[in-house]
Amino acid sequence: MKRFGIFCVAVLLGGTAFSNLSFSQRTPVSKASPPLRLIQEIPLPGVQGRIDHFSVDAERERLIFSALGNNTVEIVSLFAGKVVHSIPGLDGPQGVLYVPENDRIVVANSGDGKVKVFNGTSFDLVKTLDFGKDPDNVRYDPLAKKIYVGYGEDETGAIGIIDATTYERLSGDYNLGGGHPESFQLETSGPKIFVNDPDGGNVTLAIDRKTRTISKWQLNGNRFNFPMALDERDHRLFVGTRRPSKLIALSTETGNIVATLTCAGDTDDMYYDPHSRRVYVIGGEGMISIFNQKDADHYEMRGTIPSSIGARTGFYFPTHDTDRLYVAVPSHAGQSAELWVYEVQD
Amino acid sequence: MTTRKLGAACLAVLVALIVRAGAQEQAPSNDEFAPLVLVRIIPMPDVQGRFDHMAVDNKTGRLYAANYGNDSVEVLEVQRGKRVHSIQLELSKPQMVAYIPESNRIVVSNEGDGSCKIFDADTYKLIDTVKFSEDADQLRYDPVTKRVYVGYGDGAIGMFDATTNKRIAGDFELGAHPESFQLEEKGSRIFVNLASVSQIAVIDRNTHKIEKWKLEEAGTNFPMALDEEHHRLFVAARRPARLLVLNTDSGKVIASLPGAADTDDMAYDATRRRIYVPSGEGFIFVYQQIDADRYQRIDKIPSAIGARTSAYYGQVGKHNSLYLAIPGRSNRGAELWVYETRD
Repeated sequence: MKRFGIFCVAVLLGGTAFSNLSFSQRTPVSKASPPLRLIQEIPLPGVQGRIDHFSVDAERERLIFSALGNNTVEIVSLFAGKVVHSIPGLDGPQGVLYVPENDRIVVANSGDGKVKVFNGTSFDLVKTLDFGKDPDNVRYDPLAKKIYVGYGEDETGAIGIIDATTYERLSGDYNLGGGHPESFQLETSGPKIFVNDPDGGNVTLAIDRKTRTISKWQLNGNRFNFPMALDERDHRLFVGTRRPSKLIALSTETGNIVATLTCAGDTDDMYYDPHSRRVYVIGGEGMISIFNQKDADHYEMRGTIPSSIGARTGFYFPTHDTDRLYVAVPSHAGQSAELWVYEVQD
Repeated sequence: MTTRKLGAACLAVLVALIVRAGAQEQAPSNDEFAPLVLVRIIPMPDVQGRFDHMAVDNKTGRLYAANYGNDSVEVLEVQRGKRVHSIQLELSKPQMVAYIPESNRIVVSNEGDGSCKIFDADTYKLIDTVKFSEDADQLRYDPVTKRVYVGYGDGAIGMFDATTNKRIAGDFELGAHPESFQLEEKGSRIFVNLASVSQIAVIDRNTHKIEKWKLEEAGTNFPMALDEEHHRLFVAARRPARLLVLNTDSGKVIASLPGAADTDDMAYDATRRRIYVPSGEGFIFVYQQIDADRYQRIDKIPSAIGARTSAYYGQVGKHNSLYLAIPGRSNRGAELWVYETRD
């Protein structure tokens, strides 16, 4: 009854085109080569509820993700094609980060406001840090050995910092001046942190880590900007909005919008691959949108690939032979959760 | 149309679509005129993770499937349609099984500890271990010399004697991990896929000379099959997905066709002159060899997502069968699907 859930929703919506899309994955004849091909469905036994963000242990070829509704972090061996461990006892885990230098898994918990640090081999808890309210996205600066955590709500919204060697909280949080930070990205060749702040007026913020100044970039009336991806080479920032469903490309120097395109709805994760110059937008409405970057200012839709209703988070990761996009399909209508593996086509 | 009739019609469409959705999950419906017809499904309910390569004992019809993700080799009796054993001891990320008919033994290669484990094929007792430095992967048995060839490490093909289980000196150094390779029976060559560098290494077992053919049009070549009679080598490239046909005398690519994605096994059926290429995308591509130089894709048979490893061992019992490993999915356990080849 694999796609029965999708089907039911499609029927309820009365969208016949939609139901066709849900079946098209099994259509035997491909015409023009699709940009993604579904090649594997890894079972996620016992994982209930919403699935949030991902990280990777590249050395062991493991994906690590937060099963938010299940209060666990799941560790999937990509080569073995199965879950190899599940860390229990978390409280609404959201952002997760693997730090390869010292083999640590960092998990931000929305429920109790704690950031928990686990040993990446034994999965023992080694540290608990209190962030008060709603720690969410987590990013790593491997040069400075700092971990950044988005947390807080309303006027307490901020980006906090953890030392990635001692795992002590550092001072000098960047207060956003209103709103909970959603996805954010760190410049590696510059001082900026770009932050989506939908609560703070549907803006994208550019924090200068040196001067501590914050620029506020408007999104032209597009609201609920959650996911974000960065193209540092071309000085472009990609932001996904939910109302309406848009991919917005901005200049990281001026904050000016250079392109706006319609994309998959209800998105929570997006990725930019600098090699193929593609942007992937994972949408909870059961679609993945793929865009070609012709140059820094010009973009076109390469295709829309059906996934599954509610599959709004995932991870882009090149393996030893092909690049792959992993998409979390939460359990629905009697169907257990799965990790869908898409092979990227040139 | 009255409201009632409209309601009934809607219901009929709904039911039809639900049935269709359900049926697709069970197994794709067969077309009796297709070149491959699914005739048996053998469940392996407790097996989790990715399957790797399989071996078949043609005499008994027993099949041995390495499951990398489950650290096991599953033993199935295809005729009886059931799994009879799961070998789990001593295995660490098993990648392939070879069957040695003379001694009724199986060899299992392991990525985990680089070993080849030799088991009795009836009692499943461990008989011996042959060590390689790391990542023992593809295996081929040469019944003439009673040698087992082992692709390992980064990379080489090593050998051991299947009667003494002792390594034989003179490994063929390749400079990249060997993926699928094929032995000539009438000649002395071994053709080896070097996927990471998109090359084919050609080893001469007598002179120890190694030649390399660079694939230009498509690479990342994992699976391989050989048609020795017509001097043709088949390679399924992943990037981009192409079926390449090479002349084994010249090394030239003489045909290139759109291929299957995410491939890991392929087979040449000399009886029907067909090439079977399963794809993780949930299809088996079937190509017809019209003659040595001309090829045509004649079918693309729906299977299951993730079903990328298969085995074809010619006639086993009364039938020529293609065996396809289906990894466990969230609501359904792992299975072996048995396809009969048809004209």
